[in-house]
Amino acid sequence: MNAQAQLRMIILAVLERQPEHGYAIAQAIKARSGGVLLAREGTLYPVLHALEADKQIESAEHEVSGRVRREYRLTERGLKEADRLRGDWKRQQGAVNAVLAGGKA
Amino acid sequence: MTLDQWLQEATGTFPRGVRERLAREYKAHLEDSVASGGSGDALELFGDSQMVAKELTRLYVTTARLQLLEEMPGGWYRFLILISLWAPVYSLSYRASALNVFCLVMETVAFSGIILSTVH
Repeated sequence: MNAQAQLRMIILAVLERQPEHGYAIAQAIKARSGGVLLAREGTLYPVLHALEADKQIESAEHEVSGRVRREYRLTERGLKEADRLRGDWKRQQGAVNAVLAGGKA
Repeated sequence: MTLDQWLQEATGTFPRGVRERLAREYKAHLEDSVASGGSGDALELFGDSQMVAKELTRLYVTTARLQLLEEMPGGWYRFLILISLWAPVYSLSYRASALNVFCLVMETVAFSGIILSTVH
């Protein structure tokens, strides 16, 4: 799984909990990963727009505390894709762990 | 780097509607960051503007490409170009699909036609 696919997967995972706007998605990713993931938040929006083009998420602008924010929410299609990517990731992790476990004598 | 400078580098080549939506989102993001104690520096928060621009070209047609489309003769030709430019070819890097292969073939046919039409 390449970096793009990983970012798509973790964004979908964040939105599985509840709809969020971009900044909140970035903060959720950073908080849950202990600051390891999403060091540069600019890459978030191209991926969000790509997910929306694929109809895996949808968005709408809302006013929040006097500011306009675009909130993203998961679609049914996105939910299925999230499950599929999670399965791919677990299989890859299992495979890598198996190789590493059989490494040093 | 100011937000305006960063946005010009990251989104300046795209049509107005795309630029405006991205500007609203990045501006809101920066405002929230500043409200939480961030420095307000766009480069520090968002990273390399060229990398973001490159990611965006996988999704959006640039203004220059749109102009090329408008200058192309023939309705069916424009249709071929539209299909090929619309195709999310970047997704070939992690997932192939019949649609992507179809669009890649159409793009090859379309640009072969452009070369032939300029030669004759």
